[in-house]
Amino acid sequence: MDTSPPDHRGAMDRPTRRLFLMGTAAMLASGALISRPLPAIAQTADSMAIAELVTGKTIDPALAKRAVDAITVTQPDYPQALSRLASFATEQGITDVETLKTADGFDGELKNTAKTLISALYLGYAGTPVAHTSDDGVQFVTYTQALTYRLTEPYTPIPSYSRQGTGYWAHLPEAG
Amino acid sequence: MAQDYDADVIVVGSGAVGSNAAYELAKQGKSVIILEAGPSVPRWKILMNFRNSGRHYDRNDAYPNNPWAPTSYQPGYIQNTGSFDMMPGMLKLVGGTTWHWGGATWRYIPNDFKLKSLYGKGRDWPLEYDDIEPYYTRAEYELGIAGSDTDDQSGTHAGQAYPPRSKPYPITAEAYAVNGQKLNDTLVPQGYSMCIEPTVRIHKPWDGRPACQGNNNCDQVCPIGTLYNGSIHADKAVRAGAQLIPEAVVHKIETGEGNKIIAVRYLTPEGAEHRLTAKYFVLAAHSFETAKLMMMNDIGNSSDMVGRNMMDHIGISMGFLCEDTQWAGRGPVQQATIMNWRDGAFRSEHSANKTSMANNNPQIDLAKSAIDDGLMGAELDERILDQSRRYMYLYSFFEQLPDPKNRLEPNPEWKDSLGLPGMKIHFDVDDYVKAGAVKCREMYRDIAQKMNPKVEGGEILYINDWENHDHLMGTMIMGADASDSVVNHEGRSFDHENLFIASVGVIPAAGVVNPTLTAVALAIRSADIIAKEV
Ligand SMILES: Cc1cc2nc3c(=O)[nH]c(=O)nc-3n(C[C@H](O)[C@H](O)[C@H](O)COP(=O)(O)OP(=O)(O)OC[C@H]3O[C@@H](n4cnc5c(N)ncnc54)[C@H](O)[C@@H]3O)c2cc1C
Ligand code: SF4
Repeated sequence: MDTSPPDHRGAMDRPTRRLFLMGTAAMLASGALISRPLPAIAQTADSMAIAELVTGKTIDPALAKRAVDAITVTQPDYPQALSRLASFATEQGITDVETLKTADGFDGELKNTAKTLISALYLGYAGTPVAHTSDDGVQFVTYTQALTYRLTEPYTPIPSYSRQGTGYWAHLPEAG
Repeated sequence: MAQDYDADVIVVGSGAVGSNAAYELAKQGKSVIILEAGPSVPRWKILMNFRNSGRHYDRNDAYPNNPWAPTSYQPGYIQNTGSFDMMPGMLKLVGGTTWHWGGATWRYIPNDFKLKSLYGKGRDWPLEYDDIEPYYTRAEYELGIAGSDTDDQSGTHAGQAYPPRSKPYPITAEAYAVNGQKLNDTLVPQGYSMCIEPTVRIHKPWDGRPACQGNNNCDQVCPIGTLYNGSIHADKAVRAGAQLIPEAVVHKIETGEGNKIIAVRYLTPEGAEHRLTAKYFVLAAHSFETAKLMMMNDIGNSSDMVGRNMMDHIGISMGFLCEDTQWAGRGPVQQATIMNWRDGAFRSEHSANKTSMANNNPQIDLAKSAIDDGLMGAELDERILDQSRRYMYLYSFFEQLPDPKNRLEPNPEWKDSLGLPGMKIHFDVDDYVKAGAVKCREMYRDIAQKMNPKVEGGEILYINDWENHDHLMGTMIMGADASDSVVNHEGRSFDHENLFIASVGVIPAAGVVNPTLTAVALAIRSADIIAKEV
């Protein structure tokens, strides 16, 4: 049985360049050399680069931006934290998640920053669920684009999107 | 001079239970008004709300939560003072809470009606299985239930179809999902008693509902209308001539001569008040809301039992990994059921349990725990895929005994936009249940081992304690004696002869099976009685 994840790697050259941009912008911003906000388009690209770095997957730029925006609603200082993570990766020359996760100094706040973004992209929401209340501030990121479902979709339909017909559940999926 | 009434019968609440009563009455030629606190919402809007929300762990989330008709998860609406956080899912819209449910539609077995006389615990019902059997059959045909005509559902009548039934299920049982079949094939040869859950999730078209496509979303919203909900009978009642008034929050009940109910008053979302009269009244506004409404009006409570004796099938659950690939989350959300502890002499010592496999898609939860554990990159994906392949989830219900101390009261310290009170609840899990859970945990460990024989002790991921299961019984308890019960075996108030309660809340002995079918059967029975009298 093949349980290896579907091919989601590739385009791994892209994070480097964008991370560099983001790291530079962040350093400039933190060094107070510029005071104007970054153009929105640059922020979208930067979100995507760092999302690709922490997941090791190609990420739709709109999804990356939605994730960062949603996290920022629940955690207003998140963009700064993300810039610190981008700077760290740029300074260390890290371009992929496998190197990142074992890099010296990748712990504490830096690791949590990465986990928060990974979580939003894999789970489709940002924030901390609280049981039994309608009001926990959790923000929507995506449903069908959640990376978890992209992994498992060959085997299990995304709830409410079954196209497999009555009774399909009596057999194992063809994919394995 | 003959008195004019607005209707023969007013039904408060358009959930599965009230709508079935209303439909029966309308079908029998009675004029019926249904008053429903919530709005009428089309399925597609609920589905879009679901798909555009990140809050899928909150099953109320896709549904209207209005300031004049809050759901149970509106902050402050339900306040708990006991050791258990009684926070069931509860909806307010036409069709009620069965818009999201598992669809499990079991009958009680004959011994469930005689818990006190057989086992010395709790209460007996004021009626027996044979009294309700014909109404179970009618309810099963109204709701369109798929079930097995050969299974023993009691765990004590091996090789026999049990409990006895006067008519086959309207629809045959659906095929086991791969994981349910595997559980069955592993456990039954090793002494377990298993059966398939009777369900309103139908694998063949029935009464305008399409065959289930396995969307695995029953307890959020069925995207295609396979899964029965109360709005089906609200619609049928309207087609049979009933008047349905949505966004009508009943807040006052008036009594008159002979302590009969003469009128109810409702408020619109803007606060305008309307008064309606009828010959008979059926309160079917959910177990909690009905009790609250009765207490707000001091109705039917000479026994002081309204709101008391609250029971739920408080449960525990286990997530574990099997040896073989199963892919949980394909098809029905629940199905295979273990009945070893449903009935027997042990009920004089500890609670029975029903243990079922839930087949809800587990992947987001599994991914969350892997991310929380710090996994990233290839390791993260491998863990998600490995656990998703092998994950199984079992959950169990226990039989809480009726205890007047477990209760709800209106809470005037919290008010909705109409100035109506919230609820205060006190609930403790009883020792009878706690003792039952000890046995259940032993069974869990045994099953985890049998499903994963090569790993010593199996691979148990967690065992959770004390969960809500939204089966709210006892709050308008049925009994033979007016001094300790709210309604008689007909569902009629001991205090007001033209007032009936149609609710899961009348159930006096919880058993271990999901109770809504029983409430619908009792409501149809009450409707027959009312129809003869008006
Ligand atoms: C997630 C989940 C899964 C479940 N699964 C199962 C299952 O598999 N099997 C099972 O048997 N049960 C299940 N249940 C329980 C089941 O949903 C309830 O037992 C059932 O809905 C009760 O029906 P009802 O008609 O009494 O109340 P409801 O369905 O709650 O309907 C009551 C109606 O009354 C209205 N109302 C309330 N107050 C007023 C007022 N003052 N004026 C006018 N109208 C009012 C409400 O708006 C509502 O529409 C489940 C519940 C949940 C939350
Ligand atoms: S499994 Fe899906 S299609 Fe079937 S009843 Fe449930 S929600 Fe509807």
